Amino acid sequence: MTDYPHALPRPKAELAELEKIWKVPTGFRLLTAVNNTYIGLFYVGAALLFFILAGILALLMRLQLAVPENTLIDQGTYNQFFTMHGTVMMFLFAVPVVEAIGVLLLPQMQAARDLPFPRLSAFAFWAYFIGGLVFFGSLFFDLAPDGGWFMYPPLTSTRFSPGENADFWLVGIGFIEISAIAGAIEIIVGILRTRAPGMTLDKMPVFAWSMLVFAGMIVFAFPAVILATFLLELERAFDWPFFIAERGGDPLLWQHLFWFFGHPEVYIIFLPAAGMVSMIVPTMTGVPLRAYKLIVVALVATGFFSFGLWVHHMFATGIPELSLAFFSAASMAVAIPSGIQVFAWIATIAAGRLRLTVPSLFILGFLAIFVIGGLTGVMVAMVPFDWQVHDSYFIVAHLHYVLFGGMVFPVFAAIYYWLPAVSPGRLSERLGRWAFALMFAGFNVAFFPMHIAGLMGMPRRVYTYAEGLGWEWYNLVSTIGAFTLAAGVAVVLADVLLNFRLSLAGNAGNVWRAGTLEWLPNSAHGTRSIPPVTSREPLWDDEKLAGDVDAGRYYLPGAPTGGRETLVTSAVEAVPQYVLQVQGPSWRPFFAAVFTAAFFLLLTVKLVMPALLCGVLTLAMIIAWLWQTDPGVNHPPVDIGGGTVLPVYVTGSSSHSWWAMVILLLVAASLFIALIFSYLYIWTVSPEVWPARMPAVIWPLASAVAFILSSAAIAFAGRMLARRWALCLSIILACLALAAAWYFEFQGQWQSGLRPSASSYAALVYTVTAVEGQLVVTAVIMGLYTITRSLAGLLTPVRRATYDNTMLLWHYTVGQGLLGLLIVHGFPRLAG
Amino acid sequence: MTRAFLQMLHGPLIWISHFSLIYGAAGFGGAFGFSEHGIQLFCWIATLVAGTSILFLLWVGRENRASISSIGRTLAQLSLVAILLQALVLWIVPF
Repeated sequence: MTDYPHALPRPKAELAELEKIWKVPTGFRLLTAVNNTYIGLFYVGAALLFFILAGILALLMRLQLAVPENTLIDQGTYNQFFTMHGTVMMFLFAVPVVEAIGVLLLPQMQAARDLPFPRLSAFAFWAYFIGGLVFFGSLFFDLAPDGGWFMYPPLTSTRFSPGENADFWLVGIGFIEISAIAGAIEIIVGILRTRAPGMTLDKMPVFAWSMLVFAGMIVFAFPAVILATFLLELERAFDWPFFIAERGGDPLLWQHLFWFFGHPEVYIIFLPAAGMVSMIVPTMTGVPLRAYKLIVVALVATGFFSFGLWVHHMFATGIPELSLAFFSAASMAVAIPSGIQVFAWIATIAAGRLRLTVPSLFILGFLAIFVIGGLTGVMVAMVPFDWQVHDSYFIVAHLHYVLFGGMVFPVFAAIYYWLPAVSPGRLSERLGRWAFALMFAGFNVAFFPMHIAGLMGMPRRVYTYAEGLGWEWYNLVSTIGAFTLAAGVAVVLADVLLNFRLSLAGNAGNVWRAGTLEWLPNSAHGTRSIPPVTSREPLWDDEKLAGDVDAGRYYLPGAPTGGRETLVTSAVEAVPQYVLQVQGPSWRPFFAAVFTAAFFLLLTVKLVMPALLCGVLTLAMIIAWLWQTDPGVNHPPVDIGGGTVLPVYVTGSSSHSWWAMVILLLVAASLFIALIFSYLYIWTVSPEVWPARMPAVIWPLASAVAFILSSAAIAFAGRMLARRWALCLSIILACLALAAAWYFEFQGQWQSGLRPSASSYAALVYTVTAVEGQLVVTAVIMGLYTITRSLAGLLTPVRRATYDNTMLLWHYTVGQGLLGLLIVHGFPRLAG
Repeated sequence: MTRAFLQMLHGPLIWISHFSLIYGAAGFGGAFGFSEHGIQLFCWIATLVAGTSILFLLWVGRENRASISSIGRTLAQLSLVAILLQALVLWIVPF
């Protein structure tokens, strides 16, 4: 078999060395584990814990509403319950669980040993888990937010919500946003750069496509909510009036920013679930997925179109008719790609013979429920209908049909389907069928009557209702359904407790006879060797593949550099490019996450000094963690098999870290675009607060010159990598010029007499400066870090990834600074 | 990579540009003091340019048999439908 990259038998010591290198720490050092399998399972487990906690809140609310004029829960507590239920389900369950399944399965699906930044995954998980637990704990101290999960001002302004409850939401979810973005960067780079050789984009599993779109949407959607929470917290803490109408603000600005995140969020949750369905259906029917390319088209199109729908949550706010019509049309357009996927699944089921296993049952349940939710979605996309049912229980029913049907059912199908891939046993078919029956029946009994209650006028978020309105029976039936649904979830939990055992030593094997690579024999190091991929269902095309992979016939069967490695391939054609040395277990991501969560939560309760201390400690941990990256050429090129010799270190646009930095800058750019939208929006609403007198032109000119000088200095530093002192001087000059550029802009505004609390205009101008200031501080820290590495001899013309990333950040900071100057100083003059 | 990215995503990128332009014009045009007819004309021109661009790129790429290109073509067709649906709004809803 000369076609194989490696001949058999492999040296005996090779596998033992591989296992030793990838060994997962035990005991309390398990906290330092970074293997995607462990972090993925921790992540899934934590997300399910939050699902159960939020579900318990839902049951308590249903008990309260079971009968009219009930006094089980008082109004204030009920407000906290529905706010926490929505927030926890959306931020602590729905997004994390799909991210978790991605972290768990993507490397296996792509035959990679791990994701490219395992410590980033660990950091994302621990920040989310620790922060999430403390956030949920606010309920027990009467400190939980109570303004609804979308936290509309003015209800959440200091005037109407003077306590710290709203701050818990605004600051507290900061770490969740950081965690989600960190995970998204990891997933994008992982999917595009660590696929098995030959796994071109059109051979990539649909789940990977859906996760790619999911992560891309997080990059562009989350910055809007980060900005919104930042603005509202600035208003609450420092009286900067972004949303206060008396001083030129507009509460609707919050709604624009929130729903620019919030609507794509629905698809951020749904698309990975659709990806899971597209993986499970072909396996259960025994035929390849029908219309693969159309499904990819549908996923990508949904990702784009979902950004044109945000105003459909605002139809009842009195916006102009033309806007209503635009967004109504866009809302209907997005139904097309969703419909394509549903028809493709039905066609696949029709083409094969569906095995009625537990995953299949959950998929069928999903199809039925999601189609109903989609139909009511088209109904509420029509403006006159939306006006009738807005803020009623019809909307509660609709959103649960879409989210629970569209996401929770596929996730439970995924649990039953994929747990055998990470456990020696599989879950019980008998218990699973009971669970499905209870969940499907319970869900429909709980939520279908809400459509009718809503049409009869029952508003959402009421903690009780009067007798005689005709809502009594519908509510009682809903409560019975909710407990039936909970019983179904309890059966799943019992099944998991009884039958799931975490073991990376071996799994249950390819129990469903699936065709994709996650069903290859796996261990802590992933597959023994990395096979070339020539089709979408490699295990169906080559029955010997699993055995050959496990025997080490394919690429990288050992650990040629003596450390953790994975193959990096090109983004489109998946051609092997280099061997990435992956980082192993460490306390640094764990403590960085602990301090990040502590920073945000201490800030929430106004313990500023301890919060700052935690911020400094976070920074220290991240720098200590970064210090071990950028190893340089520490090993000669390695033969991965079949005569393919690859380098172990590359720089520039071929490097995975360059990609991660570019994606991070896209996040920053998205936030800046959302800020500029806010600035222009406020101008359309309150042109009267725009200033009659602007700062003297000399200030922005001086700032622009300093910005350009700093960019030139950092570019010059790139030519001085071999000359240490010239490099240090160039970077110091760049730091000084950048700081001066920011200072000139701030000073110009301040000297003109503008104060941020005076008007929404002033607040936005200072926010543009503040956001730029954050980037300047980060760039200066990176500059000083680059100098330190140079002085330590860790930066050379070859070993230059640290400089390349600093340079990217620097030029972006300057670009955003110049654009900010142009808008802040140019637009008022242009608009007169 | 950039070439593959553009081959695949040219349709949605044109859609998002068109959407931003017409929403921006409708939202901000009035505040700038432009007349309703001016805004409507701008939106029609934007629609014409976006639609023509997609049709042109579909015609240019018709021979390309690569998978990414064929996914890109279908995405472009879907984007064209979405652009026309938005334009329909301009036609039937009074300013």
